[in-house]
Amino acid sequence: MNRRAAIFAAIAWLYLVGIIAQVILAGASLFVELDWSVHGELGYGLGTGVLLVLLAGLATRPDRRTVGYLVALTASGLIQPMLAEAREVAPFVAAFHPVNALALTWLAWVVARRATALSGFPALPGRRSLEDGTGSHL
Amino acid sequence: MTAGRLDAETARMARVDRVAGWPRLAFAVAAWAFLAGVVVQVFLVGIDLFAGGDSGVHRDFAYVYGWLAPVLVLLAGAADVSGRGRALAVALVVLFAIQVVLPTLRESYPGLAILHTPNALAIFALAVALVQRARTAEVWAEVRRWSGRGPIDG
Repeated sequence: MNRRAAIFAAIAWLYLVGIIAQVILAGASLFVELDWSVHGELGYGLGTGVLLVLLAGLATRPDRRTVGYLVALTASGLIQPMLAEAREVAPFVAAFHPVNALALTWLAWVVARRATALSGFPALPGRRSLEDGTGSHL
Repeated sequence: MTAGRLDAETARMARVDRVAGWPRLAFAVAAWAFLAGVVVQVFLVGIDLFAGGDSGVHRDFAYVYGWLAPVLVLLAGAADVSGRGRALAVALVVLFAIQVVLPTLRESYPGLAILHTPNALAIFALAVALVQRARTAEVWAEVRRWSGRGPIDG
């Protein structure tokens, strides 16, 4: 097992869990009137988290495609709080905050799976398609 | 083999190709349309939250594309998608049905209503998985071949 890749995988999965928790907190703010600041605070924490994922990923010297996903994840993660902050000046831009959350989740999932594949952990469903880069199959 | 038999065989193969091909094309189109619907639906939440939109638009939009979920189940069968692909399509119908009900529970069971947002994420994940199973690139290659713009044996 590749130790650096194992750390990368652990951080990537933790980041994905953080995103899911963030989505649940958004639901709590919408439906049980939990203060939105809780969602906001975790959001800033995840902004730091995405940089950790990037650094841990780059430390494993991954293939070009994984680097591409890492860069996209980092960009998406860093603009996410900015989108929410744009609500006063550009509300229609801010409206992309939840859409970007979908992209962020997908990218975090892809990166976590690639990190797992790099680390040598047992195969996940669809791992073969990860390696040949074609996605899942019929 | 005589020329006549060869022509008949070619025509039969073309028929088989079309029968197997059109459901796959329809499945790919429906899967992409559903995914696009989910993204628009989530954007409408953003409009509601950040740009003072009407939450009724978000609610009503679910019925614009929601019918595609059961259609995907039917097409998954017709398109000869694997058992896993069919199971994903069925799961999509179930989660979508739950998704419509969850906000109505905000007064009686607010703890369950919270699941509206993570369930949306799950629906998005299933939609992405179905798009991947649609093998769009292959389907597109078939369309190009039928229209005479692609390689004959591609």
